[in-house]
Amino acid sequence: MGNMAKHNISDADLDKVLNSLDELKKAEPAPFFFTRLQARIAGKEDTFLQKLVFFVTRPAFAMCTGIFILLLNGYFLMNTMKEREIQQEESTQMLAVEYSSLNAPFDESNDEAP
Amino acid sequence: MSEQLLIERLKQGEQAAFREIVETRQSLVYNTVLGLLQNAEDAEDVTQEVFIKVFESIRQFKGESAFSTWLYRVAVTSALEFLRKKKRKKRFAFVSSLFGDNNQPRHDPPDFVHPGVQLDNRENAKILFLTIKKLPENQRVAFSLHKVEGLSYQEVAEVMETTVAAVESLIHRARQNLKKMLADYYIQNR
Repeated sequence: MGNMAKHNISDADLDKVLNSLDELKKAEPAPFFFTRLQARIAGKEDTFLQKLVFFVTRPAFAMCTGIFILLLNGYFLMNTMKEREIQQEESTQMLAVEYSSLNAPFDESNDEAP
Repeated sequence: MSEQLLIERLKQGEQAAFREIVETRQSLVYNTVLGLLQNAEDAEDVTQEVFIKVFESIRQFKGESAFSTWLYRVAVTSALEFLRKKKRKKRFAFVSSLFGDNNQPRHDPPDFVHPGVQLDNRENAKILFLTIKKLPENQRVAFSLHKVEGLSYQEVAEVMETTVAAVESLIHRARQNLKKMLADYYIQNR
């Protein structure tokens, strides 16, 4: 096929190239493949930890966490204040109801005999 | 030891079973991946990834197909994923170089020769591998599994989860495309 370029390419020549993989022997990885695989598995666990530490210590992550905690605090603070307001309102209303029932004028009409 | 027992032991996380599976199937995986990637270093990396995936996801193997078919599927999927990732990396290599990222993709050697090629076929095989790279993904997989790994059409169909007729068609179209590209190659390199 080295000289194929010098003349016209026939179908037979092309078939020869296409069939050049016939009787191909299987390729094997380099020796001690399993040892290298084990080392990679061990390294993979280390890499995950390293990535986690790297991610957690990034300023953007710290800032986002800080903002998130502040927002969470604000949310709980607002909720607590609202609850207190509602509680105060309820106790005022109850007091008003109690007070008005104590001072209600006596209904004399009920005493009249039929 | 039967394959089924070996797989059961692997499902229980037994290290010795994993070792046995790796040592008896490393050639199958490496040869398949090498045929698709055409780069020995990348093929070694992906073969390792395949076995890590096998170890992590062996519980998903329900025995509906032969273990070797499942292994071929994992190998082909991983090799194709690697090729896509490599393409993306190459595309963004310039951008990442601006940010000082030294994690550059490895460049393929210009002339890949499969180590199992017969000596008198080396030149032809070199040109053929160069042309196979330009085939569409499906044709490339079918042709490679059939020619490099020596699988029958039936076996290729099982790995690709398609019909035998579809595989015949894929390989026929692959041959036609390769012939056209080879003809062009020889005209250009006259």
